[in-house]
Amino acid sequence: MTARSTTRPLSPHLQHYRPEITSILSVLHRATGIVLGLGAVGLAWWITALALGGSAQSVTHWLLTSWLGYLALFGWTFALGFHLCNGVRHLFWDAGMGFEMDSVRRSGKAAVGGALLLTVIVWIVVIV
Amino acid sequence: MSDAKNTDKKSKADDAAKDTAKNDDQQHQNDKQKDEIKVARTQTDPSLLTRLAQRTAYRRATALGASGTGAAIWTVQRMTALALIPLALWFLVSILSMLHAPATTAAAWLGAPWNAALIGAFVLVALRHGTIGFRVILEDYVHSEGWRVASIALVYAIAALSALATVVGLAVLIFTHIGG
Amino acid sequence: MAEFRLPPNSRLGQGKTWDSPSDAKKPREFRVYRFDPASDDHPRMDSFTLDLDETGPMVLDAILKIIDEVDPSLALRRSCREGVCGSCAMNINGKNGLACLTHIDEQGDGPITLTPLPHLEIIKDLVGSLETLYAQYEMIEPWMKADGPEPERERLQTPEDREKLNGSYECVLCFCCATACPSYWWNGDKYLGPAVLLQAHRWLADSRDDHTGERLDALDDPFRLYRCHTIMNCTSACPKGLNPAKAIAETKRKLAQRR
Ligand code: HEM
Ligand code: SF4
Ligand code: SF4
Ligand code: FES
Repeated sequence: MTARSTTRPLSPHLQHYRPEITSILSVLHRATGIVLGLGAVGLAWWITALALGGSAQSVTHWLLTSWLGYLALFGWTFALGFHLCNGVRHLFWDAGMGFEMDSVRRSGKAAVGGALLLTVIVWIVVIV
Repeated sequence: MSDAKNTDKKSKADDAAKDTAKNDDQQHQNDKQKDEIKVARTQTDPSLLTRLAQRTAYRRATALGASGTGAAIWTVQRMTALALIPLALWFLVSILSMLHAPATTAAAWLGAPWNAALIGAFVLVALRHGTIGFRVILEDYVHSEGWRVASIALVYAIAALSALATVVGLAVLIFTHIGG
Repeated sequence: MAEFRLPPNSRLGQGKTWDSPSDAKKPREFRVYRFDPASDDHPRMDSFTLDLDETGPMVLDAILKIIDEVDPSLALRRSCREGVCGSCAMNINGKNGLACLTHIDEQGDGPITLTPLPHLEIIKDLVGSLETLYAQYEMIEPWMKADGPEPERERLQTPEDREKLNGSYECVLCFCCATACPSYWWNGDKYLGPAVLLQAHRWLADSRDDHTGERLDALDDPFRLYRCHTIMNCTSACPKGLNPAKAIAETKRKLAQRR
């Protein structure tokens, strides 16, 4: 990164720092954000394919309803569920609320719980 | 060796400077400056070196100053996040039940103006929000200026293309739906 | 790219295991990061075993015992031994803290690993360079800037306004928070980090300071302030129980309010 003026060693950081629920969920928010971004482009493609009709439509439909498509959609639902719940957590922080360490840890667990709940409910609806 | 050269130069310069007092003064200034540089290079005065190092660190920290664009982009990120809460919930309950249906039903459903408007809003706002998100991530990790600018530009291009496709696609679906 | 791994010269080499007291009733191993700029080309982890029955209760006591009785060349910063000078900050078993405020018996079982504050250039052993952090601190101009004539007596402040400084003035600038922050690891040359941003907020919050607008201008930058992603490593690490993440959020809110 920066041009180093010396050849001093760099102390251990990522390799060594103890993960906590807070830092793990922060990484998860980022990962789910990336998944959702890819999904949004996919969604744009899906709409385009439906409008195009013909083989574009049927191939896309076949892809989406294959087991790989279902797996991707399942993953995407969880990503949206978690990113949504954790996003709400972020917005509360931005409003200056819920910053004490124990409430931060509690809201983190709630976000994971909410994400799992949302995913399960959605897929029960899909399957039934 | 460089010392000998320096004194040699200095004595020559001294000769030339004898003419006026003003010149002499100037020369004195120059010599002092030269001395400071020499001291800093030869590490004879640790305090001067420390001062130099602090000065360098301070300049590196201030760099080119604040861009004044941080709050603007942050606010858009939060606004779009806020708008995405209801849109995402609506999307989750309505669109996934489309999966069982044949593709033609999905096309018809998307052609209904209200559905088209809502899903259009969802995709466009998500693209705007996601673009900022990707930009922030790239800024975090891509440190070479060229690659950073290029990768962010690529993200923006993909997002713009997707947005265009969404709008045109939805327009087509609405017209086919209403038309027939 | 951000470098997630340690550069080659920073990877740990083979360390030394020092003789331990043979009659120890409560032996405990301490693994300590060592780097000697005069002789080492790689840092290493040395192993010391102390008898806890003969050692004071704090991690700092153990280090001082090592220096006194085993290896006097071990370098660290320390002064007050009661958490007010902020100098004995280091990474203890993977988390930043002050050695003088950290109880040995709260560190569970197994060896206690001591490394310098993360992602700093190491001068010697547990001593990292804080040069950039001090420069960044200087940059936020941590002094009062009041307009108008000098008052004859002290500058007045209501008790309510004074209360707004609670939670920032107690900071001892140990940099446990800044060096715990992943964003500071990847972009510490441009991002100011939680310690400095907490102090920046301290001057935004001071009713006696007249330069809030300019101070906010200087922070309105994607890198200086907005690298904070509320990871919370900072607040979790602060040995004084302060909340830099919250101060950063409040600073962002102030910046949003004036838009
Ligand atoms: C399909 C929709 C969405 C996409 C594509 C998306 C994408 C992203 C991406 C890529 C990031 C960057 C992550 C990072 O910086 O680590 C992000 C951040 C964020 N998202 Fe979303 N997101 C979506 C929906 C939502 C929703 C529904 C919310 C609602 C609350 C939300 C709230 C946030 C917030 C608050 C951040 C900033 C987090 C931070 O400061 O690091 N997002 N999003
Ligand atoms: S909350 Fe902000 S400052 Fe604190 S560790 Fe996280 S990114 Fe760093
Ligand atoms: S906020 Fe806490 S951890 Fe950070 S420098 Fe101040 S006292 Fe240390
Ligand atoms: S020695 Fe002063 S804070 Fe630990």
